[in-house]
Amino acid sequence: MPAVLAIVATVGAYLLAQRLAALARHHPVANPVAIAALLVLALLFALRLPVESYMTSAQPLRWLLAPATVAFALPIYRQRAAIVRAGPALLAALVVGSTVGIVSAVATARLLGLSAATTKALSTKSVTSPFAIALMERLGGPADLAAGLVIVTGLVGVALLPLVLRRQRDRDPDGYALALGMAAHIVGNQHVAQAAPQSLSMASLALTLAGLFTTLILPLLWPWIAG
Amino acid sequence: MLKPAFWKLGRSLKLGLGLALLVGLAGAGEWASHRLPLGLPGAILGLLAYLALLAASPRIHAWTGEAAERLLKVLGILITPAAVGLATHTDAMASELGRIVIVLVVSTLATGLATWATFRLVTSWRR
Repeated sequence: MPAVLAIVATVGAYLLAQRLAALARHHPVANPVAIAALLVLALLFALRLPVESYMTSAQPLRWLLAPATVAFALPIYRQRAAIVRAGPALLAALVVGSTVGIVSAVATARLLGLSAATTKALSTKSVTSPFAIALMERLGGPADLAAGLVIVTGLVGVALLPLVLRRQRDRDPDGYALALGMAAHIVGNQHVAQAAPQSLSMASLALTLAGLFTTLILPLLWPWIAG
Repeated sequence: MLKPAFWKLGRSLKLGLGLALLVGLAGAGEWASHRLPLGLPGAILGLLAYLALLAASPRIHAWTGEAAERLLKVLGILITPAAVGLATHTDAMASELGRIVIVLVVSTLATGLATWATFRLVTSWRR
């Protein structure tokens, strides 16, 4: 498959997915990346092209992912006043949330006897996809599986957490937004933008800072995760 | 007539420089990642370096902010190939699917609730 076709197909599928998500009034379950991936898969199936060939041809898009991950410094820098304002409560919540995210996923996966590759991929389920891909590529885990599980985690998070924390949405919108941003990353942010827009900055901070913190501690826990 | 042309040229120059800086930092991060015994991904080292540059000078923000913003806006497109790649794991995942769902439900609830409870606890201590 020519690289140009793979890139055009990806961009076209994503633009169409955004239109479809808008038609669904940006419901968190109508995740543009998931829809775009399904559209690309449908196209590959229709053209009888193997997924592996698409993956090789779409490599130029993967190369841009690293500079895009570097760009995450911008929202952290712009929200520095909010970080200082929320201070110790925000940092404590992110440290505990990130640690619980990794340990609970790996421990439950071990308990249920999941394969080593799946367990590794699940260890990054609580960070946004670019961070998960960067971590897996550096530490030697399955990057595509991790990225896919991150998206599914986001969907699970917005399906369950608003039910469990429904009373907190009005009582403690900052805590609600942090929990959604931490556990369901970008999909959680989309939900908070609609459900508690006054606390969107907290959800966005959870997304970026938790991703950063997880990338700092995951290499330390890697011998346990990979063992 | 000349003013808008200069403005456009300046904006394109800023975008180009911003993008070059981000690509350069990602490359430098990758280089450093394989030489430091930290196990940190190159892109994350690049992120930390960019954050340090932003904090060091407001000019860096003025010159590179728009390029970073634009890259973040197309992030969904850049992640899509990885999401498509999940299809290559379907055979291996088929036997584990039910257990993976259990892990995702248990761990996502634990993560969200632990985050919320810690934030509430520390906030109430500080009052």
